[in-house]
Amino acid sequence: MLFPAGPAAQGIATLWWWMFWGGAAIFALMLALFLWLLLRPAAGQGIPARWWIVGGGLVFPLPVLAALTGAALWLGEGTLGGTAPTRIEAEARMWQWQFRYPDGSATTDVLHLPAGRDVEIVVTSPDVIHSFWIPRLGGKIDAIPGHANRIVLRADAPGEYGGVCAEYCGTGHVDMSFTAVAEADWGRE
Amino acid sequence: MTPIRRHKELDRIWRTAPGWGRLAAVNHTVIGKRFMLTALVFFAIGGLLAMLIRIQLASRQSEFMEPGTYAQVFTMHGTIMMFLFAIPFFEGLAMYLLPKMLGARDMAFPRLSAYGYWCYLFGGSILIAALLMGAAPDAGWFMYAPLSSATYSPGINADIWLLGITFVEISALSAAVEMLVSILMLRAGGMSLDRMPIFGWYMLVVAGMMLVGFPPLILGSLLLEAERAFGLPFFDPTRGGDPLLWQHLFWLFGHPEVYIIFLPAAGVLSTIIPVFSRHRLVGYRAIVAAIVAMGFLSFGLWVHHMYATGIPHLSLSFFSIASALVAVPTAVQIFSWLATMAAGRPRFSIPMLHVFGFMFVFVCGGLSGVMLAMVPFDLQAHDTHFVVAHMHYVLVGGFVFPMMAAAYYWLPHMTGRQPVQHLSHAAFWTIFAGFNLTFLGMHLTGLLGMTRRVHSYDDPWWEVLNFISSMGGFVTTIGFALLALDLILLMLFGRPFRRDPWRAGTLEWAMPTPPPSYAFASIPMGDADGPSLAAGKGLLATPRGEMETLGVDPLTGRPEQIVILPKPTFLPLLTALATGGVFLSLLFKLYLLAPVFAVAVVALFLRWTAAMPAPAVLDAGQGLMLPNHRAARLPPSLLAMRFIIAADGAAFASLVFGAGFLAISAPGWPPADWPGFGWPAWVAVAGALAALALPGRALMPQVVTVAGFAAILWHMEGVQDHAAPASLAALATWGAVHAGIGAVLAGWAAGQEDKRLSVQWQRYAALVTVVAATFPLLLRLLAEGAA
Amino acid sequence: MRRLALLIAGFVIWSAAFLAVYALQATGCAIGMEAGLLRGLLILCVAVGVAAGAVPLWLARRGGVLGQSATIAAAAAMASTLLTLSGVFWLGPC
Ligand code: HEM
Ligand SMILES: [Cu+2]
Ligand SMILES: [Cu+2]
Repeated sequence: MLFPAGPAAQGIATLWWWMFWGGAAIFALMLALFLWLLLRPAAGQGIPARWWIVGGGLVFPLPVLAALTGAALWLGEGTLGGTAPTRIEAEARMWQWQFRYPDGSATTDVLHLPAGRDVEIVVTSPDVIHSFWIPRLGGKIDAIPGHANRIVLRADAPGEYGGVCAEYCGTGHVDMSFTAVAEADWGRE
Repeated sequence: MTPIRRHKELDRIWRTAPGWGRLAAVNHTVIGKRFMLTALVFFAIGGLLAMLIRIQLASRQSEFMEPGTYAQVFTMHGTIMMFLFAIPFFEGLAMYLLPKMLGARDMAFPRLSAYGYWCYLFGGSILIAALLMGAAPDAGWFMYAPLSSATYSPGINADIWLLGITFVEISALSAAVEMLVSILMLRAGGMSLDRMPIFGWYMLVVAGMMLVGFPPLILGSLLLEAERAFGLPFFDPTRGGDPLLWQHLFWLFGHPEVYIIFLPAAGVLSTIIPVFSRHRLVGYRAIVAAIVAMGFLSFGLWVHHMYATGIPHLSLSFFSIASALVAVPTAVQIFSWLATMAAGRPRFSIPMLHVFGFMFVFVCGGLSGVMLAMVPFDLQAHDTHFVVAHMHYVLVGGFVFPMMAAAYYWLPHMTGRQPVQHLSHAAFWTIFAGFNLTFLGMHLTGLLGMTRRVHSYDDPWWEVLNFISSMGGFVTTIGFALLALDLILLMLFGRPFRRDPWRAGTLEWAMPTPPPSYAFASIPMGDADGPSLAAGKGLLATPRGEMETLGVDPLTGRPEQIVILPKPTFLPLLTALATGGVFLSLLFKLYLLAPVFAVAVVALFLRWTAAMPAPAVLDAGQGLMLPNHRAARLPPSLLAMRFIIAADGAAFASLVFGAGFLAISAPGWPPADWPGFGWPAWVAVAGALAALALPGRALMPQVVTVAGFAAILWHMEGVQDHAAPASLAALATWGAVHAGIGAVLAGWAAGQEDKRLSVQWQRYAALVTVVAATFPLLLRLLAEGAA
Repeated sequence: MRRLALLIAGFVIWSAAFLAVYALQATGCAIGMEAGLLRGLLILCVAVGVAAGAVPLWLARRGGVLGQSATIAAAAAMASTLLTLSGVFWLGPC
């Protein structure tokens, strides 16, 4: 996730770095306040109680949370629930991945993608719950038996990206990884 | 009467007999300590499992454990820590403290405390026995179906989780009812709700949350067990079930659960920080509102564990915003504590050191929590070690550190000895350093892509981080060992003291320490201090041979009744053993034996009511004449019945929601042919209406209702083929059981003067019947609409 | 007990509004309701929830035991209803 290779992952990484620095600042502030009050007794006596509670409990967190949540929802609205004309079917089963392409061909544990283009991946499972995740390209989507879930991903450049099953699915869970190969000339339409 | 003589007489009435008599204990001090000690044993077992996990992950491609064993270890670590350590520990603490803080001599239903304890001990032991025999649950602590269903977990492992945890949860529900009634009714004279010690408020809200939070889990467990044992396909997508239903039911419980664990700890902090700041708690009223807000908001977050399940973004937004919003009441509390420190003159001592540990660790965990509430980020971090790090920051920061502060603060109360500070600092800093070493870097491990619940990995960089985490884990364990040693030294060699070593001023310190069995020699009325209470200047100062405590008006604290509590008895133990019999027969599939034990449980519970005092008006002292609880307007049992009905209603609502959810969301609906209830439904409804009309004589009507539902179940076909008939069968069974309980209660009440308890249940059961009998229509409407 | 009910009334209304909106949205999407209509209904639900939240706020104004806590809780609940469900105004309904 720290090394994004596609727009979805890029957006999330940007969000993360904002949250990280903001969080670090808030953490430092809270800890400094606490230690200041503890180690310098009577230091804060001039500040009325209302200031602490209303200021720290409402005035400070509400705008921060509103801005953050608004931005995250805006980001999510752009990336989640979208569709793309190129569609690949991914079937997760204990414990391997089957990918089927528009031209009818299929591969196991290797996913071939066109580079630089949005693809919609439809994820299903015939047995237990698995989860489809290529960390460098974007978020996860669960493969739930009885449901078909979709996710839109894009690899900006050709290359190989690791993928895993993220939801515990039995003793073979660890071995349920796959490789995503982004190709400049894909040719599986 | 001299204080000494009063002490002797009261102790003769209240004490627990030695030897075998200990098994009959019902006293809150005894049971509370047992809860905490047992929870600590489970904490040690859970910690040991954590060490096994850390050994496994310390190096790449470790051969230490096989995948199957590893699965049992992480599942049991999570399960033990959540269900057998955290919840029972604070239940024990609350049981020990609440009466003493509120000015009562015991909880409202001492036998129920004891029964809950035995259920907890037996249920927990079943799980540990399974662990020792290598048959422990292995599908993760949230037991997602269908991995946990009969097809993919054919062994007994999953049944152990479902039945063992349900058995343990009986103790959580009984504790919830008991805390609600005790806090509302058993307080010192004149203690109005807005002057109650703040810990009481925290536990009031926590108990309310437990009352509606646990039923969805219990219901889900019963449904999943029904699927595993009898093939009713609630979660099987090939037969009209839906795995997502399990996730909804589990997290509907699971998220409030973490706030249920945090709030008692926050209550401890709200109690301790003012004492060490030498200033009363600032913002009491805002805190009360904040606790209420947290209690509710925490029920609106459950889907934040399900962001990746393909739910529409708009729905996710509700849960995401609610998750962010819950930070606001948390901030209000933290800043109230800071304001308290600012207004007073804080002094440093060991409990405050642990408060610092809380501040550091919990704030960090809270911040990563807000991050995880953001949908896109969670889609990356979900199910990775980032989440493992986050939840340990919250659970250890928000529960373990405050509980260690509590231990240093109240252990002097339990033992009558003051801390000897030799190891305390070293223990704290070892735990603190070890914890951060274990989990701080783990955030990064997760961000680099390491998923949770894996027993091996390839990446050399991950190995560095994991190795550091493992070392940190061992340091933490050494720290906990030091802490245990320190506390044991305190118990053995601490200096004895006279009252109130912290100059706290709350009522629990207005008694000798260690506390006498009866807690208060006389019940406080208005402003009271220890010596005057011992001298009998409060209420109920003259022992009458019965275990008496004061019942007050819930809001104002005006004395209203004298509650006469039951003497020590073996009945709770016997009832819990019979209950265990029910669970064990289900576990070993001896389905003919289960009803036998169930009848024994009912019979034993009816025995509980045998020793009730006759209605009377008694002298409470200070010129006050009060009715005993049998003659009172609102006796504690009646209030308890309302809460039991609320909990049961939450389970029933979950069942109705579950069926409706399947109709809308599950694949394979509507079913090929619709099952109906047919004419027996009218019989059931007729019985219910008769019970409503004559709730005082409901025996026959409820028998008719049972017969109606029995006929429905008899005619029901295809319950194993599709979730639609299965859900309807579940509803009919629910109706039958409730009408059956109604019949038993009506039969019991026939010999009683006061039928109010039974009447309340009859009304509720009739309502359940009407809903259950008419629900098939609604379900059909929903399903056809969705199709 | 009345005062206690008043203390939680605001958030009980929040819960009801939350569940109603969530259920309506899930059902609406499942039965394929027209998007504009669904959004309209959702907004109506939120509006009713916020309006209903004003009742406990108004009742709590008279003070008394727990009055101030009840006022804060009711105001917080009303704001929570509007905030938690604010997605209905601008996010795609399904
Ligand atoms: C020394 C202290 C502890 C250490 C070193 C530790 C270590 C761990 C590790 C490494 C995992 C991840 C297992 C995996 O994903 O494979 C884990 C999971 C977990 N831990 Fe802990 N833990 C500690 C204390 C606690 C405490 C105090 C609690 C709760 C009060 C807790 C609750 C959990 C839960 C709920 C899980 C999830 C289990 C699952 O995935 O099913 N842990 N722990
Ligand atoms: Cu998996
Ligand atoms: Cu959560």
